[in-house]
Amino acid sequence: MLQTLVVALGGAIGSVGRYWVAIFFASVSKNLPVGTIIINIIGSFAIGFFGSLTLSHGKFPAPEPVRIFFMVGVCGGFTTFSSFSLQTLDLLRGGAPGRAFLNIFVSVLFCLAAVAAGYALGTHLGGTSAQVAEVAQNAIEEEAS
Amino acid sequence: MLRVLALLTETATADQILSASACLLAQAGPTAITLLHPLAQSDPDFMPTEEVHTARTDARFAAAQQALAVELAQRAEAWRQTGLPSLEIRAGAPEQIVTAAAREADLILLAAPQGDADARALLDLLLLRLAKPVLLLPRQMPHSFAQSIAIAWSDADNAAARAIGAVQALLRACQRATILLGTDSPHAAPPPQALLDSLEAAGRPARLHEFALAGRHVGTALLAEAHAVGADFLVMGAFTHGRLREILFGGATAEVLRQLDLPVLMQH
Repeated sequence: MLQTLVVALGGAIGSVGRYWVAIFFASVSKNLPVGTIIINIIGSFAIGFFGSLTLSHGKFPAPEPVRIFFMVGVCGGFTTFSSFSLQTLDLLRGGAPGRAFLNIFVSVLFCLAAVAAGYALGTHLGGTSAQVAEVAQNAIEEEAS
Repeated sequence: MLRVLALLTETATADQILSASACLLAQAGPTAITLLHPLAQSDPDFMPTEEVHTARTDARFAAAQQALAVELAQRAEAWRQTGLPSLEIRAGAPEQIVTAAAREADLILLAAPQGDADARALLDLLLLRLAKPVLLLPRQMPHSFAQSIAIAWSDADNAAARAIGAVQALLRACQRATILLGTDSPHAAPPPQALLDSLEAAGRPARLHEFALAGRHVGTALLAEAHAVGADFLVMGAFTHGRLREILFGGATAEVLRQLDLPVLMQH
């Protein structure tokens, strides 16, 4: 029940945040859905960063409800694959296949880059990789002995 | 002089609006009619946060709107011999165009919304925000127009009394006026003497038709009883319990809108 509530709360925050950002970028989104691209890049970076920063073995471990709140609720509400899909279809139907494929290419490429960058930064700040490697190394050694 | 604004928004209901306008011109005494089509310049359904439009999309929309305007203008021209004016086409934001035109009108003619969100928004604008009497026309018009007028009455409903003001001339000209009163309605109340006096003063003493709701919804019963007394025109208050309550719990106005099959004059 708690998990559902935190998802609902996070989703509300994320959705409203997405709406505001989309409104802010609406004036420059006439040819390409710039707002949606930026929203998805920000969301991708945020989930990568937060996800790696708050791992249980990192410096900043977060309880599960907090991770669910942010990663499922906030990020889930904030990012939008449905708008991306509709806007791509709009471009295709509107006789702009070039811009449609540009939208797909930019969205996928930049979102993957953003989530990787976020993950790397979170890992760097949280020291997660080293700790995970250490735990893994210990496990391997225990297994060997 | 009765100033009537007739809004033509779609081809499917253009002839109904034009027919009713011509009838008003013939039956409602001195009447000035404006036929208006608000020409939308941008797609009202477009959501800038969720969608993206291309030049082709916009051009397609503009062409469709232009074709609609031309078709409506041609329909209106066919009614010129009845004394109706040509269709005025004003481009811009429909809500602003309608608001400006409606402020100058005593009565608005509009096709009854049929699940169309834009048409429903237009009705809300006219009824609730501008508080204008709106004559809603069905897809299928009765064979006669305002020859037998029914007036739905309830205690909460001095809106109906006010609506009568917009159709005084029609009441004087009609063959029969009937007041519908649901005796087992939670809002049942005898019509006030002032209403009867005003009808008598208008030259049309009304007869009273009492009926039992018998479990029917108020809106359903009103339409059925209007037909039962042979009415071809119904006058009623609208959203007397508030728009929000109507949305949440339903109401007579929403029921009448869903089932509307004769001209209904509504006033909030």
